Amino acid sequence: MSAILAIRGLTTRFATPDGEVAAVSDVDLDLRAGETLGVVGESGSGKSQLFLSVLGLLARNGRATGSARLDGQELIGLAPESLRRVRGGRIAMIFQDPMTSLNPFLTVGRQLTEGPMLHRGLDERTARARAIAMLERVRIPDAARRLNQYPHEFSGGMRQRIMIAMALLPEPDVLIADEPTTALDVTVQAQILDLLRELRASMGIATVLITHDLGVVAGLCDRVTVMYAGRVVEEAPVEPLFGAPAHPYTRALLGALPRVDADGAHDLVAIPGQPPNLQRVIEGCAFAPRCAQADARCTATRPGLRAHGAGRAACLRLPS
Amino acid sequence: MTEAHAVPAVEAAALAPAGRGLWSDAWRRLRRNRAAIAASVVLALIAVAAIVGPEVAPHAIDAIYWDRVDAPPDFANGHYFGTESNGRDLFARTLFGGRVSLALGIAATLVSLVIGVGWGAIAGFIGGRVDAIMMRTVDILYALPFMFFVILLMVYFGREPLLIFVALGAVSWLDMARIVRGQALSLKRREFIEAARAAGTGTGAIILRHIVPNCLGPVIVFATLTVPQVILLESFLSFLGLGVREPMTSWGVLIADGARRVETAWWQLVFPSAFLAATLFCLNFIGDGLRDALDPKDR
Amino acid sequence: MSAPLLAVEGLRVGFPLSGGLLGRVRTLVAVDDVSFELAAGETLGVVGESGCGKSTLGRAVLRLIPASAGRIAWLGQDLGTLDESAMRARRRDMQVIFQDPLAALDPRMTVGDIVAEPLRAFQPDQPKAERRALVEDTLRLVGLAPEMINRYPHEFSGGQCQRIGIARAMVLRPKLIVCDEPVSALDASIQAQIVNLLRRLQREFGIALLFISHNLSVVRHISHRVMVLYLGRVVELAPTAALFARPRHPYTRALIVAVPVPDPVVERARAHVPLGGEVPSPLRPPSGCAFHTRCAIARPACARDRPALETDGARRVACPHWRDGAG
Repeated sequence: MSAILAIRGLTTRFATPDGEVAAVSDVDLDLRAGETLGVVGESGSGKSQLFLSVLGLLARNGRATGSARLDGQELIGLAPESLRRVRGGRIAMIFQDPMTSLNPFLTVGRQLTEGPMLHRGLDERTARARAIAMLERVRIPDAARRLNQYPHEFSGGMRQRIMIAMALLPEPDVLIADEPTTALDVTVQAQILDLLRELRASMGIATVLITHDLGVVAGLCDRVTVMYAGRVVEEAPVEPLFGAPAHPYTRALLGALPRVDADGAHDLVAIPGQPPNLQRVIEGCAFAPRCAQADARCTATRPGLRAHGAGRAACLRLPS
Repeated sequence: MTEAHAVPAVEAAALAPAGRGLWSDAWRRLRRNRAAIAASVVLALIAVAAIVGPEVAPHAIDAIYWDRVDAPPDFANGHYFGTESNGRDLFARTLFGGRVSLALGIAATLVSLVIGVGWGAIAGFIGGRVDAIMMRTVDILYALPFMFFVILLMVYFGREPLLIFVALGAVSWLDMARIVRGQALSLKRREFIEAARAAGTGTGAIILRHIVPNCLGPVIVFATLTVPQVILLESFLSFLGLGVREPMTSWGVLIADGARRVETAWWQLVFPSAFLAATLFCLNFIGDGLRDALDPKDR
Repeated sequence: MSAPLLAVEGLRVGFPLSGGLLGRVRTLVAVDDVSFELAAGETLGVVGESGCGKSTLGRAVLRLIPASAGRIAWLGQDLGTLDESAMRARRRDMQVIFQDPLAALDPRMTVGDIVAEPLRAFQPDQPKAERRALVEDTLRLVGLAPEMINRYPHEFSGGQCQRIGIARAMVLRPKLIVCDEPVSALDASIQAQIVNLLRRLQREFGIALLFISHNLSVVRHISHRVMVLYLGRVVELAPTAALFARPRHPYTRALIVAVPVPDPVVERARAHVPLGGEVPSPLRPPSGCAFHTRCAIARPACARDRPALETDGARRVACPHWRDGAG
């Protein structure tokens, strides 16, 4: 299957007063047409910075090198103006906090129609009709009336629906959702996940779901990429990844999670230590200091991603 | 089993350089600010000159030379800055005036620090009726016309240098109290204050140990800006003839005298003004530098 | 039978809000008529969504905010009758851990001073060396190296800061720790460390925990009993296993179903009928049963009558119709 978004050797560094930080290191990743790819990792794993690099949205002190091709078009190093067109058209994004993307002083209707009128030359009536249709699609009741309201008049869940509607309006090829449900209450999160599931079935947009919540990934994604300390450590279809995780980090992470469907008679298997400081150059495997299986080889040699089962994993201890 | 498992989870951070507090971080940032460092050096030079200058100057501040009234600067006879209308040496008097102005500025600022920080921290942290009463007091003092207040003091107690100092201190702490109160109000809601209360720490100890240290950043910045304010205020009083008494002098007195004679004896205005201006510039640069160093987020 | 460690009866916490044109004072009732008991060495989980009053409840129990009505009894003694200084003495046995680990530590104090703070409050005459030894001992207890005593909070990661917070709470070896979302700000791998640490401390020292969290998975893992709050009221209180296996209140049921399970096979087989709507504003709570606006089994009477909390053995549920929806 062909990749609609192909990332190769992507590296992102930030210049800080205390030295350079390698937030993303040499990441290869494919997003295939129509699939939902989960990108999981803890804070500082580089999962968000990876896609901010692709979209040219890095903070000013950040610099990305490598390649990210959208249907063959190189995005890294593209002129800001062209990147902006890509972001408003072929790639759409949803963020954790909808209020950062919505202008509190403009009505929702204005914000939903402005883009299409400007970029696609739609007249106001058509743009409005499409905005209403899209709001109904994300199940906002009484859409025509609510178009005239301001963002603060909507609840958190409704705002996230508006964000989704806004992202989907230009009919993008790729949707990047960065922790779209993290700020929401669990019952509202369930509603949004339900909506995303339905949109996936009806629209089939290739989607990247960036999240720290493995439960969300389990319910929604086709494939999963696990990141640790700026690198991909494992990548596999969702069932083998949860059923038979290959990388010790993936395994440890699953073991460390309490589950709502299991009692807590035994202690969780915590991962000792904490993620490495990315200001320092890491010689071997970044997870080695916390890994129960690591040996001398692991701290000396950096493992590459190798095929393993249905996916790929970066661990020296796996049989080749 | 590797080494990593035997060690408690957390020791990785022990590799980092030892205990770097917020203050030493701020100091590091301040040292990188060239303008602030240069200003500190200049200010230190002015202060040293003001302290030792009058003692080593060739002429005393109150020696009157009838033959050299309004004489221009002349290195040959030791009147580096010339003389003033009473035939006294301007060099010695300018440096001595600096001593008075700086001392007044610093002393009044210290008073404003002690009263203002205490007042503001207590009002802000305790809140409620205490806050209302304390801050209304501040409002009333604010509303008193300053000049009226000073003239009243002068009428009752005569022209005592101590009085000027009291008057300056009495007004300059009002702003400080308001700033600290605002800080205390926002700190009060922070979780570490709640944690301290839950840990059984009493109100007084919370104010002293948590509120005041965490206010100090803005307080120090404001203090560096209060010193020039007080110096200017004193100059203003002196300009109106309500300042220090002869033969003592201050920059304000010298400038006031110099301004009257600027057409015939320019040096009488230029030298004291240059010192005052340099001092004010330096303090403002230092204040700016401190603000950036203490609160890097605001840049 | 001896009195429980903590007995809360009919607790109500309201915040006055000035508002309206005529300066009419409205009251936001954050916690309403909450009653529960906590035994020594027990963990009571408190769950609910935003606005359910769970954090307010924790602070009210510690009397960090005043209660408008109700009674909080510590070993049978009513805390409401204590004056400020007697209450301060009581705090020795009741400590707290907060959600944001860094914000809970004074940025201008060293780790040693932070952990020693309760000691300074309760044992002001303690010799320095003894105090220092106790602080180092407690740091070791929570998995921190005692050498960190002279460092500052901002030098530590979130997980380490939370350990410092736990050390401060533990240094007096209290009988109760109120944990207000103690792991919500932490990553999964660190979260497990902290949960295990709390469980270990409880086993070793017999501490009772009031564990407040929106994360049902963590609450299930750590609690002996669980109390579910909705808009400031208790809707269900039950032993953990029973509550998760057979939730009675329709809200509890919806809450449990909404939590995604990290297992694609299980997760995709689960029924996904998300609860509609969102939590109403606590300023304008619905009449009757506050949950009736979102409830699948609501009937007209639910909008009118506030359901009482019925006790059935160890379980309590505030829904007269729970048997209908059990399905």
